Amino acid sequence: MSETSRVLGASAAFLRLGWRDASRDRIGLFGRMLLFSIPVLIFATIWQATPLAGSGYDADRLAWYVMMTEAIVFAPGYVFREIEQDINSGAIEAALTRPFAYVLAWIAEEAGGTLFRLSALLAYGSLLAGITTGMVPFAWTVVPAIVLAAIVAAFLALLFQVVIGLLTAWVGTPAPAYWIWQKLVFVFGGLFIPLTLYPAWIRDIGMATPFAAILYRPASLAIAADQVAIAEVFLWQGLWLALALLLVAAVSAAATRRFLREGV
Amino acid sequence: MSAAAAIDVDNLAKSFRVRRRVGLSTLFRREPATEVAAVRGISFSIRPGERVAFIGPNGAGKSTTLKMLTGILTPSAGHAEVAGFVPWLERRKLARRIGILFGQRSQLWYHLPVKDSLELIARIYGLDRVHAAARLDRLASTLAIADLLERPVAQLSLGQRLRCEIAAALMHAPPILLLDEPTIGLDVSAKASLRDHLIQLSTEEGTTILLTSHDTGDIERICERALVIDKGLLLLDQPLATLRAQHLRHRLVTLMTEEESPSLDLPGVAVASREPHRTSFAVDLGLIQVERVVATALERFSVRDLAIENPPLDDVIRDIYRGAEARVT
Repeated sequence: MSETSRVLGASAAFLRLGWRDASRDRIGLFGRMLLFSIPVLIFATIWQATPLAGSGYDADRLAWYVMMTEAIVFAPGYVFREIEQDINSGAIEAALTRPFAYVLAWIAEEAGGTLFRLSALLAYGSLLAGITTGMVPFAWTVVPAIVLAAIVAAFLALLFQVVIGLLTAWVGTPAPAYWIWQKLVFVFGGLFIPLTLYPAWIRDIGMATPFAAILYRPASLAIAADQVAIAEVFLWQGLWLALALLLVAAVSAAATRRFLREGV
Repeated sequence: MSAAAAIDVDNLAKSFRVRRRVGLSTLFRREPATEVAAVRGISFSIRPGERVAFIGPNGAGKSTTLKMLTGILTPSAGHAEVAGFVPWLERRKLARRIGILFGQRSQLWYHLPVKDSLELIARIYGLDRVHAAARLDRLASTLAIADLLERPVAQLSLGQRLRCEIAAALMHAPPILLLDEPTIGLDVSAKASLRDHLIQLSTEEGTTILLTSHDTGDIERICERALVIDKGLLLLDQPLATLRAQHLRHRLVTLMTEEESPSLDLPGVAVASREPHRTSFAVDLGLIQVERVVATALERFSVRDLAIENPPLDDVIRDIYRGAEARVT
């Protein structure tokens, strides 16, 4: 067996494991669906009562937008906590003695779980938004692009969580970093309001960050998805995906060097 | 470095820089770091197939040495080769040649059935399905875990889990097995069973074993040679028979008898403690065999139960350490 096929085979096994675990966690999924329904329904109501004339949006489309951003936010697990626990308990030592990258194992396993939860939340959310608004704001032909953009977005969020988890090597408790990261995603990603409705200077900052590639850009496809918009979303997501992967590799290498030098 | 050695260690040392951090005053200024030596230049060599105990009290440097030998800690000085690899430079390559069991940490996925964990490990090591299934069958039979394979790890007893942990460490058939406290927390019968399985595997597959343990039973039953370390220094490297003759010179024989306070007037036998119907005798193995003491006791008294115990390892280590200090002075 070649090295590449061994790594791919093991990664696929971890991915299947994550998918299977997430699919068995029915209470977790129902809890997510319940929490997910509240902001979607509340914002659908708020947008109905908000004067949107001249904004380029209508309440029904904004309900679909919020459904998309919420699905992406609720899909990833809390892998930073798993990594924190592995490092602080010393369990990472056993993982480091295996011929398989510790970080890759977590990314693959969490990607499997994230993929399952995202699929379930998008299906449920589409039903919820469809029933609430009585309309579907996009053509069926762009559904694969919308789903793919949501998958890339959730994966990006997962990669940044891995980086935050690895910070445990230096700070011991990465939770504060995670909460800051999460609030930045909510604000500069446009969790409830599309970035295009922000004041120009905040919108420009938000658009240039990975937060927009995680929330606003993929969710905006639920509102208006032409070929140009789709291409632009994937271009930005591709750029941030490459940078996030480089960041994961760099932080992982630095954390491993620290463990090898100073112990876990 | 000896060419044929499974593990070769030459003057290996590890120091950690420790910074004291107390109070608010040190929040904004860095205290000077102090060097703490965990391992101070140890050397030894282990032949393929040999079973060696690495013993010492807590904080002696055992785990630090094991971590350096597995490649997850870089030494401050010295050199080592394990299965022909320098561990801290070739960690991933070495991983295919060694199996590791940390008695207090699990390598299995708690929520998964044992079989799924072992199959995942087989994928990590790149075993093809046929080879992995055959290996799993063999380990399941040798370690008596066939009926545990479908059960989630979380539902196993500690003894059952440790047998499964050994299967996980041996899935890729490594020639070298490093065990850190493999029987910690096990009851007497589970310990005996695990030791028997390890000996069987080592004998059949020629696996080299290096184990750390606080349990003299592990060492005596599994190993043929002992390395004794304390305060980062290698105090002793000798066959177990020699170690036993020189340092494990006493046994404690406890008798539960119908008689209230039995006495044995045999050379080398002294009362260690006494309660009504329960007497412990310290037996000096240099003067008399335990078998003779037991035979005499059975002959003279109505024995309801008896127990034979080794002196605690810490006593042995203290004895060795006192000897080493005496040699130095």
